[in-house]
Amino acid sequence: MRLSRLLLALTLVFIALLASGATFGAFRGVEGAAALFRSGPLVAFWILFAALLLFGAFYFKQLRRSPASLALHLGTLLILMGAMWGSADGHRLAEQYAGINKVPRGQMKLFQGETTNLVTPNVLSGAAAVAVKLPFSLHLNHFVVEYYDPWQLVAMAPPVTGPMSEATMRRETIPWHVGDQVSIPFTDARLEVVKYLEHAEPTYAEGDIPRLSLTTSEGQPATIVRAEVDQTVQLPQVAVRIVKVFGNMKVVPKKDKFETVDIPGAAENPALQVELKWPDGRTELRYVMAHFPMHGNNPNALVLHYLYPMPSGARPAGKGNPPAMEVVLRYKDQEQRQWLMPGPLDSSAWISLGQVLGLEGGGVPKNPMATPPPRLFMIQPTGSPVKHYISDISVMDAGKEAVRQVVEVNAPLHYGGYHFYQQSYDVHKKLFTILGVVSDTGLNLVYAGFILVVLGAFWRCWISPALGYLRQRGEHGD
Amino acid sequence: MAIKYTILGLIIYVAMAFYLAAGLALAGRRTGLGRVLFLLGFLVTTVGFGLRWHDAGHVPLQNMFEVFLCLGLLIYPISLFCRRVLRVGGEAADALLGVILLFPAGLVFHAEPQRLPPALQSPLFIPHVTAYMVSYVIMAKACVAAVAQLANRSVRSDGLLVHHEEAAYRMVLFGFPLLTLGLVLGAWWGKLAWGDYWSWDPKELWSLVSWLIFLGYLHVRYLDNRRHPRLGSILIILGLAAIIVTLLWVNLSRIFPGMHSYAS
Repeated sequence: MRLSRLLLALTLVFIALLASGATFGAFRGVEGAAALFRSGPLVAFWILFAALLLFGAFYFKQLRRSPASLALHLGTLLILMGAMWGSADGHRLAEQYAGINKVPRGQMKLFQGETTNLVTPNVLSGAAAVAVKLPFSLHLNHFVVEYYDPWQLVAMAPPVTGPMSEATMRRETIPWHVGDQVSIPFTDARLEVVKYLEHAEPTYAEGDIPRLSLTTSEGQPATIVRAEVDQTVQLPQVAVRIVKVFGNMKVVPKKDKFETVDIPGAAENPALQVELKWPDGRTELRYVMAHFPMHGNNPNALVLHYLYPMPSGARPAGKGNPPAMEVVLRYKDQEQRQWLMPGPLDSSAWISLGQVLGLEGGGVPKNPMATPPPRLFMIQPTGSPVKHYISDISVMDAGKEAVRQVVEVNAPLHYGGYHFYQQSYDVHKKLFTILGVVSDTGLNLVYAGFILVVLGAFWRCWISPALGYLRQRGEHGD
Repeated sequence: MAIKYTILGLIIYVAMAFYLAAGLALAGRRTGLGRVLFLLGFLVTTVGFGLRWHDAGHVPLQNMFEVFLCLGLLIYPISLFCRRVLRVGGEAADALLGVILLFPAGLVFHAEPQRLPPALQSPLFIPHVTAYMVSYVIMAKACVAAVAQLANRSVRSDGLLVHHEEAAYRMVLFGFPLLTLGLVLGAWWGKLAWGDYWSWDPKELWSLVSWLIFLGYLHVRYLDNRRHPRLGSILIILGLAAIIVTLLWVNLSRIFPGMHSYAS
């Protein structure tokens, strides 16, 4: 058998083996197929396949004379080479022989306002994953989940009789359209939605400041006070005093202990230091942090939360920002304009109709702690399909912001030899985002291979035959 | 299986009726009537596709219902192109293929429009799926020609159409770059969406198997066609079988769990 026919027959054998392997791999599932094609015998197969492609490109004159066929074959070769170089084994060899230390793939978990350079590498099941440091950091400015359905308006009021709890609160969704006036359930008041901004950023009244929210374990509504030094709240069991207000709290080592300091600049970690004092004289210092709401909180005892200032208005903003709604509330001869806009960590915004319109709780004897007035909520729709989940990321390199980009599915961030993908997020409370981290080693070869394979296929199968046909027609004088 | 008592369901059934009538007319050598009925079936399917597009709010290529509606739409223009440009016959079979392609949309898969999840909101969504849909219809036509070649059927025409083996070759030649484009666009999209241009997903593996079979066919034809024309036809039939597995079995069977669950 001539060598050319032997090589072509061998090519057919390789194609058949690869097709058979792919068929077998499909039945084994993703992990089984991945393990199969990365196993020793298959690595040898890939290398021999690549060698066959390379040899064929040199041996077959017809192949070299046909740019389209050459593109197809070399493109396939480039894809194989890029894939091998970018694989986990390829990274290991690069580290071993060239000193190139990159994480092939991993994950980063970021809370809003947090900066980190730690990547948890993907490892085989059963192996321990040791976090690796990147030479630069990522900072999560903002994280938002958007739903297809617009935010809902919900009226909430305490029960007419009986004890008040989460389960007994009355709720009713208010259908709304911009410009329509509707009744507010449980009240004689009416509301009109005058503006709805799908993406908005808040504006604040001059002098408005954050607040501290205190909730006890007895399920009483929260007490909310302005976050000012020496602001004191006397609760039945304990007195709480604000000791210090941080714009950007950091913990720094000092001699042989750690100290909390306020670092000027971007408000990455707004916080309050509060002192709790019990009747028996015991005291405790606690930190209340905006971006770490569960820190130090015991749901069975006193729960303290940092609340951002209430927005006095809103203006349109880019994708990734929450919505805002301006409503006009009418009751008897009163008319009040209010903005509903969630804070940076919130999935709802609310107005107390008691504070705004002087409404009281329904039917229960007057007691501000036990019978809160009805409230109007703007909340994210439950059960609506997710439209986007978006992370507004800054890359911090050498202490400066090098890049800022909104990362979402289909729009990764590319920096420093890595791609960062919007992979997942905290589904329950939306406190953190999870970015997939993938090294870009070998990717340019793969992309170059893709282009060559596609161009080669179209040229070989469409353009060359069409040109040949036109040439024939021209020769026959048609 | 269930009959759809909706406007869109009715449109699909009318289109199927036109395609069936066209197939029978063309098979009975009533060419003029058959072609008119075939065109009418296409126009009705186009109305259905447009209606679905309006209801869904995006190009309807997301789930199995929409995919088969699209396939039923594509059969007529592809048949026309193959006849006029590639000189490939088989119009009657094409019309009957249209009935088969619309059948799952009309009677099997449910029709509720769905919102696009974040991963499908990509400019690559439409070209990736469309390239595959066009190539699938072409390869199905090639398979019909391959079967006719194996059955030694002669070409019924005025002499302007090529014989079945050449017809199958021309259609594979036309469809193969689109199959390649679909595969590459899918890999590129996977890289942008999930970080992997190849993740050994069963859908990806069966797509690769389909592509490799047709690649093998082209190599066999280059190497040995004069000696083994029937081998090429068998490969084309195997290739279509792999396409059917890729399109249907992978999406619907629990044997193949993977990321491509959108279309199920």
